Amino acid sequence: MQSFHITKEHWAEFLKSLSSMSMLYAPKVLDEGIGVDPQVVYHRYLPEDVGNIKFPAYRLRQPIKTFFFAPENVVSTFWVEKPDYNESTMPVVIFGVKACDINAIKVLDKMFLEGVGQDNEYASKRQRTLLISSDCTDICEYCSCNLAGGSPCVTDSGYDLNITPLEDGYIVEVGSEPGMHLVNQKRNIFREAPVGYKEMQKSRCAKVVAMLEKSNFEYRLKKSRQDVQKNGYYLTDLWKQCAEDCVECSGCRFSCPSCYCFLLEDTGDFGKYQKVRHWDSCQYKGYGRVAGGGNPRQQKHERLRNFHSCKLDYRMQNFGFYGCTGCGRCIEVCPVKIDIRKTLVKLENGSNPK
Amino acid sequence: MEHKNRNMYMPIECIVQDNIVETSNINTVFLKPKTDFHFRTGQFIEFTIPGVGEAPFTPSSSPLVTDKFEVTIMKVGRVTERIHALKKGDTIGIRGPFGKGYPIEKYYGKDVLILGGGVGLAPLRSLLLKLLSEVEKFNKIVLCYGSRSPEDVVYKRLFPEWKNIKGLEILRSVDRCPSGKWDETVGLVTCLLDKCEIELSNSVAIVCGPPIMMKFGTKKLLELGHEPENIYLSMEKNMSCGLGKCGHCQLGPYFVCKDGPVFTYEEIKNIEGIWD
Repeated sequence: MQSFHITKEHWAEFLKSLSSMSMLYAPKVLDEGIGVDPQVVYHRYLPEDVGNIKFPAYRLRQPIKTFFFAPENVVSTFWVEKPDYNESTMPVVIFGVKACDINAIKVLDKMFLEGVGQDNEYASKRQRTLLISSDCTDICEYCSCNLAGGSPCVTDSGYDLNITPLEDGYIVEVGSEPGMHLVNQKRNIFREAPVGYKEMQKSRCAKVVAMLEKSNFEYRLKKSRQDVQKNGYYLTDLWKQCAEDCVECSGCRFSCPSCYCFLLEDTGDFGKYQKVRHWDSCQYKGYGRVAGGGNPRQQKHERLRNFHSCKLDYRMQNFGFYGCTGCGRCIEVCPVKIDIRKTLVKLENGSNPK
Repeated sequence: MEHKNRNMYMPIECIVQDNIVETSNINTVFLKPKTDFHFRTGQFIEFTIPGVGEAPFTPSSSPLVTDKFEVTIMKVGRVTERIHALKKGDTIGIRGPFGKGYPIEKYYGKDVLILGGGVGLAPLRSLLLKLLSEVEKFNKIVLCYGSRSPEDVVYKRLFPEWKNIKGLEILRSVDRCPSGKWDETVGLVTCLLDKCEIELSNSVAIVCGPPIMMKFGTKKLLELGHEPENIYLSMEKNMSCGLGKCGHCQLGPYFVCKDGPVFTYEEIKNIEGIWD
């Protein structure tokens, strides 16, 4: 795909045009968070505000899935002649998406767009949303994409446009047809990308990777999953220790950008029947319960282990990549700081005592 | 079944044609969908009581009939209570069919042993009707069916005619018989397995029933020498969306709704909690 250069003035013009023809969401710093976590949210920018848009240093707290897979959503209305869909069909552009969230979307796309059939609700939102990514320039203490096979820098696919700031403007890399279409709408303000920008990107990226390696040094695993599990896949006593402090709040699942589980509710309100989809979590005790009271995962350590297996074994088996992107939100949100990195180290050390 | 652009969460409207009592807590509901509805035996549907909820069931009627079908349902909770209360003419919804069903072709030329317990006979009845429609393709068909008591036998009305079918052998047991009105086996369904003659090297066993019966039934079949890859189990987990998306029916790397609900024991034997 092609890449371009754009000046700072033209970049502002481009954002302005994006915000007038679509719903443009970009990070907004509510609080710099001196001494505490900064508060950064996705904010909808109007044309007059786009000058305030800044590049986020690393991923936001809000997982990107919220744009395609809302906490609550009507998925069918029946049986009426014409269901009244009020939902806007205006395009959505999300700016400042990070590599970890792009990887999370790959998991969600597999789940919702492939398999037995396509989930129309997700598909339509996904289709009308464009992703503008940027490489990470810093990390937070929970960032660990390097442990999950990822990188702080956007790779070759999954984005529509990828933006890299320079001294005198920005590099705009095109990752898709819709991305190219955005560029073509303002083609006159884009110039050819300077030779050698890739090297500059790489050296910047290497610095962030080095920060990640240093930050996650003690969590680098020495054995494969298979090796850890070779004396018994379930490692029950170790899992009981790992789950001991869990308060079963499910924060880890709801903040996970690649978790997709949901619960269907039937309602008969407002004179029509509807099925409403709500986020659900495998950490809730009643999650797998069946009619008659059977429950495949009664104990919290079984549920905690299940989510690790789901992310690290089952998705790898089903899709060929991890369900975990190493974004660290599950650690960040956990009230007792159960840390997937520490859990895996504990399993590795405990699985094969010398 | 492919669901390309259809809304997969949209139920198909069905009219209740009848709702008959099988036992004290099991009914069979006769449904007529507003559009033709095809399923393969062993596939399941989501039964929607509009505004109330939905639950998964496997049709118990023949898959060869496409303008109406039957579902046999035990009353165990909120949705099934409402299903039992349905009256002729009521409108309900169904979604599906979901899952893969029984791989009938793999049973051709073999001894087919069907082991059922309680309301687990419902999907097995559909299977049986399908097998009987091409009965000449199987070496023989043996149905071992266990219930708690003679009163708990489902399809009491149908057994007399089934007993006359050539190529089908039926063995039945009840766990207990306080009334004494039972001239067949008294004991757990697994004890029927000692009585039936099956050519082990050329057979398949199909099991459906409550989890505890599935567990001990499978154990017994293995003891008798049945191969794990020839034991077909109906793993009825918490199937909700039916599409392998919502996650509730996860069974190790599988989603029961899309990869099952029928699995061979070989496929799932190393997964924890399969009988819970």
